[in-house]
Amino acid sequence: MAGNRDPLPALARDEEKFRTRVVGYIAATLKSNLPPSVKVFVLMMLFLFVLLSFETGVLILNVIVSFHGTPVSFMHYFYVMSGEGMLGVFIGIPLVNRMTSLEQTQRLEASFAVIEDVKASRGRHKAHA
Amino acid sequence: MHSRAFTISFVSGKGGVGKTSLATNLAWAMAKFGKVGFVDLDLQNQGATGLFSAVFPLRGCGVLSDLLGLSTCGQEDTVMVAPGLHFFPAVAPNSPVSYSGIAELINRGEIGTRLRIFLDHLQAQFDFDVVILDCHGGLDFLSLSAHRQSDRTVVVTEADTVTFNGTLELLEFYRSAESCEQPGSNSAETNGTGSLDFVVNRVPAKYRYDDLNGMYARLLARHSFGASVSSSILLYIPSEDFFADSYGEYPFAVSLAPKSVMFRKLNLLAVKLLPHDLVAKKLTATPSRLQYWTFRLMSRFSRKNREFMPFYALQLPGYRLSVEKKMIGRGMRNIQRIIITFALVSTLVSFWLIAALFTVMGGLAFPNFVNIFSNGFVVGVLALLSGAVVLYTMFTSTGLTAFYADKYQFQRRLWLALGKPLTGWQRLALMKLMILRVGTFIGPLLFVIIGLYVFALTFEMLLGALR
Repeated sequence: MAGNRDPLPALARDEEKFRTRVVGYIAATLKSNLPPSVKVFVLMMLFLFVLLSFETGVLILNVIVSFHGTPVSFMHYFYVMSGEGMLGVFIGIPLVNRMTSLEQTQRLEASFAVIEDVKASRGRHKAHA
Repeated sequence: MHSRAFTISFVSGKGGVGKTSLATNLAWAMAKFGKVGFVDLDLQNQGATGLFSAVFPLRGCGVLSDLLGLSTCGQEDTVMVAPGLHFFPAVAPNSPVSYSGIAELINRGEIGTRLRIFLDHLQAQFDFDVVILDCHGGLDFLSLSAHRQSDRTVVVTEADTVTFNGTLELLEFYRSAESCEQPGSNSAETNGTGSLDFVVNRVPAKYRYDDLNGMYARLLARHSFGASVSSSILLYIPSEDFFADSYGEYPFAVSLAPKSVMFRKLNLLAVKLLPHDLVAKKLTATPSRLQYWTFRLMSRFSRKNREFMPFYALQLPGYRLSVEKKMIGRGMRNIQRIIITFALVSTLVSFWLIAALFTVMGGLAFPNFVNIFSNGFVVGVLALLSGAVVLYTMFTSTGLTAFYADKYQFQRRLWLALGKPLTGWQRLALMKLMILRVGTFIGPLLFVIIGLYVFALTFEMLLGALR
């Protein structure tokens, strides 16, 4: 009988599943051999997904609750959202830019190393070991 | 006997890296410190000659005929292209290039000697403080001679594999040329210290200073370039839209954009390259912060101070470091930054409008709704926040308005500097930039005004509800 069951263990189990899944995604992303900028991007997307799902929950709750005359505002939703936008712009984008620059420089260095190797194989431009 | 002028030559392993643009603009910056001679040694492309002849009427002899011993450059042959800056074209106007003569000089191994004689002659005639030699890109014997005659040689390079290859070849060329000669045999040819410095030009905005500098530091440490080669990059110069647009039109493009990063970077390069005593003549001591700000305030009222302001500021170590590290800034913005800022502003404004809409509708539908206070408050906060962001972006480096303002200024100055009356099309182009400049200002401003109006409405409703 569904009504007799204690809903808490099921909720706790769901939460646990959710948590392990998110942690799993984060761990998988960190462990993968993706470029760092992609890693940062994926992590940001994950973060945003969790945040948005939380907010959607809050929004739906707001809608339900506000019809009962409770003083909860829609506006907080937008307020929070714009705050996140700012966070994304002022922290996320510089972070991604930083990682991208690092990656591009490493790639440039690798291509320079190829040229150096070609020259070294001709017996010139011997680099220090 | 005149003492030798401090000689700086600009070379590169590959053509088209921006030697001439860099050298001309740097010469303009250096002319503030003393008498500068600018010599076009690129006999093939004659880049600087072409650039100057489009704006200034060149006359007299060319460097080539002087090298070949056909004529000598006198006072009356030179053109002063900027205060304190004399230009010597590669070839005389209306005179053909004699490649056979140059080949003969090279074959006889006399090119270095001839160049030294030419430079000595210039010094005797003009008594320059600094002489800048703009060489041909690639491996050639004239640029090798120029390098040997110079106190400092600037190798211009770019952050890409093609130029890197050329630069390595150039270094190998110089090294093998040095090792070929017996010690002491070329003492007449070698007057300079033979030191090599690197400038990385046109750095794309995707690279950050720290990453790139780390990479080049590792690269320079890895190679045994010898003691004469500096172990760090002298300067990184970012790629710049305006300068790219105006390429080949006017030699001193940097003088048209005195707020640009390029301007500051070139001033820094001038201070770094010039001999210490020449710099010290104008810049005596490192100013304190208070002195700096006083000078800065004074520079608003005095033209002389204003001209000298950039160099004075460069004496501040913090400012110097920031100029050194700056890759993007006012007058140098990449489209990515503009798009991000635009996205930020439009997101904020749209959130705010939605919030305002909800508030008004909610207020109208439920006049006694309890959350009217919180809505009004939130809308107010949003209005202030987005208004601040909009205003910030309008007046700072990343804003579209500032971009068009700079573009307008630069374009107008460029066309006026060319010394011809503006044509109808040029006026139309300037008008377009002005419309864009005003439009990008008024557009966001309208949003702010509408938002404030909505905020006032909400506030009024709040007062009504309280009454």
